[in-house]
Amino acid sequence: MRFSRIHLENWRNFTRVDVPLQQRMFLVGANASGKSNLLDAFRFLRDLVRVGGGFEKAVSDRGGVSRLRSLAARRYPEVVVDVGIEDDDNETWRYRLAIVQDNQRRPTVKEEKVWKSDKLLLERPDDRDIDDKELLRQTHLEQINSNRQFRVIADFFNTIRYYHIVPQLIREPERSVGRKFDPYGGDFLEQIASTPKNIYESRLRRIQNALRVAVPQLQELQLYRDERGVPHLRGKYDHWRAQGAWQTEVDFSDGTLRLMGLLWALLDGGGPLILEEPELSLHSEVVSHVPEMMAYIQKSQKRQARQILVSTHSSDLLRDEGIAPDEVLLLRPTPDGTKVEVSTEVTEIKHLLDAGLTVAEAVLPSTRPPKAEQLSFLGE
Amino acid sequence: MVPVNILVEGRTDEPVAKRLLIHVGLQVGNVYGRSGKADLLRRLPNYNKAARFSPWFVVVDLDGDTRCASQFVAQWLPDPAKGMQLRVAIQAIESWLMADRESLARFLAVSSSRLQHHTEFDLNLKEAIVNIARTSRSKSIREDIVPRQGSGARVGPLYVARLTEFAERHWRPDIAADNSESLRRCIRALSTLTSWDAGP
Repeated sequence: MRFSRIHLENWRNFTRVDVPLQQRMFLVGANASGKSNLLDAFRFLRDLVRVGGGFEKAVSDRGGVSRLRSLAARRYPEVVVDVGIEDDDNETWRYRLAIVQDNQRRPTVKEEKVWKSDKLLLERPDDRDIDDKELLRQTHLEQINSNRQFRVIADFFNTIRYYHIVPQLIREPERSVGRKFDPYGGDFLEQIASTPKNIYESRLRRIQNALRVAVPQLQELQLYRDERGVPHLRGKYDHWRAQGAWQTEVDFSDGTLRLMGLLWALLDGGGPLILEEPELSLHSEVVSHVPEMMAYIQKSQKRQARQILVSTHSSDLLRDEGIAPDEVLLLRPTPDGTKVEVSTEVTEIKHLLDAGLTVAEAVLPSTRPPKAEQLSFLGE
Repeated sequence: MVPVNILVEGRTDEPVAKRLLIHVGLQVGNVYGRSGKADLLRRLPNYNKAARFSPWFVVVDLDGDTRCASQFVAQWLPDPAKGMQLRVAIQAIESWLMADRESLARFLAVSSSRLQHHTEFDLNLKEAIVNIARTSRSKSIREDIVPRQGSGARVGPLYVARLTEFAERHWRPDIAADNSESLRRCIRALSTLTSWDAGP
């Protein structure tokens, strides 16, 4: 299954978003244009359904409806998240959620609808909601006794993963305290260790093969547990000592850990994967191969390939000729909230692309701050 | 043996240049450029200066430039340094790959007759390869090399990786040279670099 479309209204810094989505999507835009905010809409959907999540928590974790709602929101105060989904049998689904707050500022469902093909399976508020307004404090999506007809959607949202490995965090001794399924990598090693052994070993082997290309001095990569049972990664490096020397994750460089995290994220799981700036800490040459790496892994996945949504600033990454213009979303701030468009929808860019320029050449210039040269003088 | 540095227009040219150096028995140095033809030609005088002290292998696509290859070289490199080997592929490096028809046909899982009527003088060879791959018996090749319908892309998501794979593992420069005059000349010229020494 994959998302085929996303429609947002008044979500954070967006008044309105309505764009189709492909198997790979690259979000491009200036700093603070809202790339993370857009990706957060997908994380929100996952928070609705995950264990320990739910509608109320998902909204309050984001600071409540007032924080969530676009400052540019005018006439219609509700926040809307509306997504199109395509499944393995080319069946289309649609989930729509409109959010407001009640007099006590508690998040309330204004509207919740589910379609399968064009058939409306759920429409709220329904009679029971009108009878008991408290029911509108929860979505049907998150409740097992209400979502039977479209549970597949809830299960799908539950497979959404967000990874943003912070190398410093992995190196900390108390990194996993209080952290479970931490997207920042606090329990990254614990997660590897709790995967069935044959699976994590084969993945680590694949990661090792890839790492040895990027870091040629790395010979071997292993997972082991110390005396306290805490999992560690260790790598054997070419060394002046004949046998080579083992280093643990504490000694791995930022780039090595980021690349490992990226590879593990790509190989792990089948649901949509959200990545922010995969280029961080990596050599430009390594970065230039990331789009093909993604395509290669997507290809090797047995059933439907996993959808990957990526935000990036990197021209090295976007220079890949195999990136299609319809895989690129351009975010541009306007006084009316940030505008999101597929790159081909912008006339000027379409002409450049038609003329044979790569995505990096045609799209990145529109993301520059207009007076960037003043930075050399600190804007003074 | 002194490593020979490479200067090329783009990522798909790099493995071809490397194979050719290895083919004539030279050691591969670093790879430069890969920012397009205009950039390469603009910087060529700088690289040429560096080529006074070390050997350089530069490959450029003629791309339908009306001049013939030797006129092209004369214009862009009027005063070649001792270590500078500027070679021109007609019309593009892809034609050198396509010149090994049997091997490419096998790699693309198409019949070799598909490659017969492409000559050195065809333009848009990238498009030609994509169109040939459309007829491939291999789903994997089709998915990798042919762009998704309506996506706006000119090549598929693993086009570069596949061409690189072909150039590195399956391409036979000596066989290809039988079908490509510009490749033949290139290999001959490269052989002169094997006797390079840094003296005056």
